[in-house]
Amino acid sequence: MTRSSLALVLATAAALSLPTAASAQSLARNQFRSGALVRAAFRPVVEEASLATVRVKVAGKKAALGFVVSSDGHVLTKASELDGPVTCHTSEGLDFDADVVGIHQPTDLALLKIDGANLPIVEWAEGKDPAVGRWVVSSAPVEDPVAVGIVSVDRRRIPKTRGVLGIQIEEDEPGPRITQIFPNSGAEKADLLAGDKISSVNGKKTPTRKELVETLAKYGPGESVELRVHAEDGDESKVRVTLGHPLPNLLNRGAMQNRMGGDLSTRRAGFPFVLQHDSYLDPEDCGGPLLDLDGRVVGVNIARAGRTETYALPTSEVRKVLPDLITGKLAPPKPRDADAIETKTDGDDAKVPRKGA
Amino acid sequence: MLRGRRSRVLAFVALFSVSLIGFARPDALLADDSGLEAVLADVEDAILIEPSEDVTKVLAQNAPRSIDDLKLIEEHVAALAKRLEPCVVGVRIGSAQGSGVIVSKDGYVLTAAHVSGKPDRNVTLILPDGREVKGKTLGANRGIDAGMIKITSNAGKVWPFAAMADIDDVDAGDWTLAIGHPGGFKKGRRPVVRLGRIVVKRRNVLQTDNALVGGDSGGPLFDASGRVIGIHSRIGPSITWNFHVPISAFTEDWERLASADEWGGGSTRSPTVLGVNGEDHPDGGALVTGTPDGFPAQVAGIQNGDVITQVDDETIKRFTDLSEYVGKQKPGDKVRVVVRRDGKTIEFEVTLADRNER
Repeated sequence: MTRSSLALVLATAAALSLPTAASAQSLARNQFRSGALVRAAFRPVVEEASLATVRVKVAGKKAALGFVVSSDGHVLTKASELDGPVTCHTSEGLDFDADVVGIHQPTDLALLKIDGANLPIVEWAEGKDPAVGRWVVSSAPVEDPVAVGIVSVDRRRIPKTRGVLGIQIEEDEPGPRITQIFPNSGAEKADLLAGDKISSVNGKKTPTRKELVETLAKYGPGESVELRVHAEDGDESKVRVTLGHPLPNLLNRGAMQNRMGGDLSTRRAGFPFVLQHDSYLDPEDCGGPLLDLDGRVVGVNIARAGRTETYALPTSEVRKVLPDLITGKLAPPKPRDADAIETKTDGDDAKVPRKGA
Repeated sequence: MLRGRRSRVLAFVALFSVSLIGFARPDALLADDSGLEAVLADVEDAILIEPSEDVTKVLAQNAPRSIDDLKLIEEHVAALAKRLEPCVVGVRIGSAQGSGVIVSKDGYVLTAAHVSGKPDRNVTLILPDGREVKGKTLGANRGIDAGMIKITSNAGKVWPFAAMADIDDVDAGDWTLAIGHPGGFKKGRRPVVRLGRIVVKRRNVLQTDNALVGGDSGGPLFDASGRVIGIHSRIGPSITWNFHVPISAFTEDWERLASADEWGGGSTRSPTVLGVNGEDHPDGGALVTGTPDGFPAQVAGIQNGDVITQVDDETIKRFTDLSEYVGKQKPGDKVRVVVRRDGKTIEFEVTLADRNER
């Protein structure tokens, strides 16, 4: 989003002029905390790690950053951004097709496998989390860090929030009927229409409004669900929709202010542990490594969560999950026959294929 | 040819808002040692972390130049963050939350005027570990957004407190630490620390790139020695637009604030909001250039590029016509908004909202 579209300007608001340098002391932009001159001082910090950092693309578009954790091509990244064919672009300018070989839902980590050999890998930091006030540096497959900041808060749990489709519904047969689609919602992006009826979610039948709401409440923002949709003209189809955050009610100032200054990650809540830091990181730059001044990985950037906050999974937690990702214990289920999903009624929601047709 | 005067309207959002109308003047809550001189005399007991000569040199550069420079900064910032935390408080008045900082051993707390509101109100102050103490609001300079609170619990207790800087020692480029409670105090989360620099210094405002958000209002901006140089006040659309009340607003008017006087400003701004930004369209009407998420205009389907030509029976020639008309309505009122889009005329029914609703 551009700056102007983010401007929070209200029709009735008093007009204030912008601060200008004319009558005040001011600082050159490249000397800002995250300005080019300051970030340049961090080049030696990311020198090694940037070689192991990759740009993760989905269907050719920037989706996340990732980093190589084994020289034969295992790459860690952020799972919920991977909703299509994945490729990795390395610091050497090479592009690899990537398979998703593991997903750890609680942390939103995904392990990719690319067909590489003797790839540079990152060095993990040992010991405790970096303390509040310590520099943290986010690398990318380029010379300069993509962001710099300090640890703002010690590790803590971030509770889960409920995901929403972005619709208003009323009771009907054979399932609740959509009466309104909210702008910029997952429902709008998936081309749902007012008048459509929803009869199942991931194969679980939802004959009433209550059952639909309760079923959807099991999923968080960033997760996707497959709906059976009955259009007004009688057409039936399966529609995959990515859930969003609960829509800010009319003047939820907190939600609104948090968006002032940049976009946020769709999945930005429901983590067992995060380190909060103050780096300005774009959502598509999450998934990469967070480094200390010695260039060692102290965490994995997992979400841009608000104007003041970026979350990283602490390295000690990431390394607990990594073996299960590598051995295939957390392999995503293979896409199954669509009918099998359709007839499933036991509500086993967690095992829905991520890359369904 | 007539070109429309492009009046780009921008506004800043207070980081926290409570209803501010009313100018009751309660009895002053005066402590016998309320004077600034008494507070300043205690300054040797304040939390102060003077940087070493090496750190001072590094911080005085345009930017750090090496990993050694960065390490020197890091050691010092980590010490500042740890040592300063105890004097940062959350402020709760009713359901509203902001931040504050203790600046005297007997518990004077600086905050933003839009957090403390009217004098003599009961407030709850939340210490970093979640313990709560009681306080009363004192004075407020609404024009500049300076407010004061006195802790009333634990009379006689010596509170950990920060020193106040001399504003003449503050320059653009200085490194700053912002601490506060973004989103309000949250259980299990200590005060949130952010590093930045002074981007602009003016007599009545400091701008930094320490990112702030609602709930930070009233929290402290510290210099590299841990002195309070500003109080968080409001933000603009860019992440580097963070505005703080300069400390001089408190030190120069200390007696007035401590004696629960209230002056300046006095917002008469209507709370009614449509939720569009924009400018005058050269052919007449208000050109929409932004529709913040969740606001009535966006919810109704008004889009960037739309030109609002009429609201109810009022013709809109310029953006200010729109502002004025909306300002005369009440939150909850329905208005008919006529829009020109791609040569077509479209009408929307929009329910106006209250900007202060949370």
